[in-house]
Amino acid sequence: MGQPPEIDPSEAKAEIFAYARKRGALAVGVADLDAIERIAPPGHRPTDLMPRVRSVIAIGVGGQTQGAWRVPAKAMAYFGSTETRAYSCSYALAFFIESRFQVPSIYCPPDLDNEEGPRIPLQSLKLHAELAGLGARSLAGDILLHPEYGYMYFASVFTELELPPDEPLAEAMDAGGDEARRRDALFDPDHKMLWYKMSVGSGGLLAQCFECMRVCPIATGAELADPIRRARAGTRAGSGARTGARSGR
Amino acid sequence: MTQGLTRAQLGVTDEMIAAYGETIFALSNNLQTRRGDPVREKDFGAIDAHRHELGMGDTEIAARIGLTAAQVTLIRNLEERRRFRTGHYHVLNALGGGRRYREERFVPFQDHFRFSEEALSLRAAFSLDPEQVRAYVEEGWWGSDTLSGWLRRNAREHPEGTALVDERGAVSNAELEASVDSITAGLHHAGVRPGDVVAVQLPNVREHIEILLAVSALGAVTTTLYMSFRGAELAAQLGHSRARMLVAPARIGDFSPFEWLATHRTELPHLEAAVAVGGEAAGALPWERLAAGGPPLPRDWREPTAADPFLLLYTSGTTSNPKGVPLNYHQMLSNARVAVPEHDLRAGDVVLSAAPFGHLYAIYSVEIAIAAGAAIALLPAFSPPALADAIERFRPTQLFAAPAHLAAFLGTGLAERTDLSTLRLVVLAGAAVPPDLVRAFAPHLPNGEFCQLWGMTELQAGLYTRIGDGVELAAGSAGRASPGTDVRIAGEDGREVARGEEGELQARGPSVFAGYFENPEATARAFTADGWFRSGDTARMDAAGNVTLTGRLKDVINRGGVKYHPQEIELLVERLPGVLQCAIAPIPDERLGERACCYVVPRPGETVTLEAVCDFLLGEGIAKFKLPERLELVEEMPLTPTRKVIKGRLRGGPPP
Repeated sequence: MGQPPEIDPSEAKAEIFAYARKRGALAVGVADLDAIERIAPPGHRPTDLMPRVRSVIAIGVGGQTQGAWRVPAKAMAYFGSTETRAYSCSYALAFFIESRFQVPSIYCPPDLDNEEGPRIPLQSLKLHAELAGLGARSLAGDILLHPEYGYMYFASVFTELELPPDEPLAEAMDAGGDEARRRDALFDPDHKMLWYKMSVGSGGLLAQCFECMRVCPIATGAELADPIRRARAGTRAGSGARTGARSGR
Repeated sequence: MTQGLTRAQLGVTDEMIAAYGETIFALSNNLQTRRGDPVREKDFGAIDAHRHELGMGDTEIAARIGLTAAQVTLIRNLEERRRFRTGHYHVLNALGGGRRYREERFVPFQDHFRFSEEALSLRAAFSLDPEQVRAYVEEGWWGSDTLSGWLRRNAREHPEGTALVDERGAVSNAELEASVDSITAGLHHAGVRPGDVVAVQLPNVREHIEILLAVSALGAVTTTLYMSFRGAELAAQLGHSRARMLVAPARIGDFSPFEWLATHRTELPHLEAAVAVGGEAAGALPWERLAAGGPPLPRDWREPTAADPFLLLYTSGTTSNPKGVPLNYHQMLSNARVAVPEHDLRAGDVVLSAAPFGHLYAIYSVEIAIAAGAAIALLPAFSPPALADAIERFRPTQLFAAPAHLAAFLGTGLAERTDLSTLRLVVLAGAAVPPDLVRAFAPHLPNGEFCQLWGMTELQAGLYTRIGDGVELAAGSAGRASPGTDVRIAGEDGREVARGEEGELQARGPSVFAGYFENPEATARAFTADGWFRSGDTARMDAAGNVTLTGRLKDVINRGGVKYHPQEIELLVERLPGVLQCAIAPIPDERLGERACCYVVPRPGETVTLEAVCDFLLGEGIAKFKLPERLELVEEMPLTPTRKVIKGRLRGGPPP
């Protein structure tokens, strides 16, 4: 099934981005498929999952509301938000593309590859999102940092529809601290954290107090990370030309 | 994925873990040190250069080093556990809602307290019917009541209210809570842990209440020993209950529990500590040192909950060897809580027990006093003058006594000379209540009423008369079922008999125990197939639900196939002026199988004849087949510590 000739890739991309924003995405981007294919290891490339894939769409959703950060209940920093909303958005987006453009699409599963052991994901959603310009990787778990949106959780859609790719975020997002100190903090056994596991979603070992995220200078300083401030400023998430990757719009 | 397979199934040995662990960990370690964001910059050269830092999957590692993927997964997980304190997500889970992480509060889950095998075996004794549990919770009988919880509530709401009063003075709720907290820390310092059993052999003194509350506050379990217990009885209960600590007076008359303990320690491997009250004893911690407290309780310590074991009591055993009865707060305190209004108890009242705290009946009086916020007045050892003195000094509003206490009090003429005007309720239980005793005592209570109560170690208070029932009902009946308790009278076929007919008294409800401690045979005998507890008492129930106890099921005279319970005859014989105490037991007879023998303790200077007894009984309208056919005068009856006659020792002839 090829791409119908009457579909304009740029118009299709604009429609797809508009739909994703309507479903709650803060940022949307299209990753460079060739780059993913080159970076991801064999068995975990997009073509391994969907042989005729032409585009990888990454979407990012915001984290907790400002209320969740301000109440004393730590559980609110974790429950009822995060990745699940990104997954539901991308799930809907896959159906939207099929119904709107009649092109096969899939919601990219965030699950682990059972055949590979308990720590290997089927696909690296973070790799998709980074290449799609949704942000730079954070050391604080499964999030990407973005100068305007703060930090975001992410999910992906594969489609046989060909869309023009976006560029990755140009600048590095560094919350401070030198490499050696970060390394000590993250990998010193006395700190008892297995952070390295978090990027592949090993789940059971995830542990954090969320304080770093609550006070993150990037997230708290980002213009569009705070829905209340956003509303007061008269702006709307994803409004205007903010389609996702700054370098890609 | 190990998919739940065991090490044996996977063929992984300790030697394999030691040999391959290091390599697997190194190959799997995904560092992600984020050098220069090569992905974002599409620097494929840098990505390739650092690709090894991404680590390998278990399948790749397995292929590299010649193990199966499942073996790699298992070894990698064990190696990571060894190197890192995994499970840190428990920190997050432990926070719950609304709390911030505090290192000084957090205890790693692997460092949390573990119950001992003995404690777990006692907890396992609470084999409860799930349907009943659901009903008791939904109907509100079982909640969150604990004894220490009630004490803390009283201290919080009425810190200055009187909790205890004895010859040393009054103790407020706040003072009692403080001393209990200190003793609780002292118990922990002495090695007692939640679930451990602490044996208490003390009279009705302040220390008895304090240790009961402190053991409870620690989450440990109290087993009470009767003051009359000596060597064999002590060894049996301390051994069976696996008591961790014994708390006893330095001396009980000429008996020293600790001297006895010194020579029997090897027979009691679980007993690790002893505390002497009222003096020093070799091998025992002085009470004062226990009461002085200890280091703060550990961070993982928790207040006991209502489902925790509270008491491990032993039945008085009129017919067989004592049996351990484990009881939790649900069972005991639900029964006590609902009794507060039934016994007209109010905050500020004073509850006095003539019965010893070694018996559940007296512990019940303590429970309801604390439940109501009333004061507990202490009478260390009963004697008629001591009771009179305690009544006049402490001005009790409720008196809990056994019939023998009241009979002795009446017999000495002290009832006339003692101001009993403060008493609003006199509760009688513990043995068959002679109706004439109630009738004779009633005129001495200008402001009070009688309550006859029937209870057992296995269910605490099962029946009692209510305020306003009147003297005659309290004299002749144990009243109606306590709130929440169902009672029925069952015939020999197990079916409920018609009102007025005699049968076995059976009960079920939220206070009924679950089973004897490590005695499944006795437990099986104690319950009917449909879950009713067989009390072994015989009784009749009238149309209004009032139950009159008539005897013990096993306490039957079978005269040529005609069976009757002798309790009715005993109560009548005790009305004879020369009779202090009477018990009727069968003696073997070649022709009839059994005949009734009347054992009588005569009053000093009096004599009693069989002819006089029979004439009196005939005059009372008793059928001839119930008349005793032999009479034995004895100096004293063989009694249980709770003052019940041990008829097994009377059968077959005069007692030794």
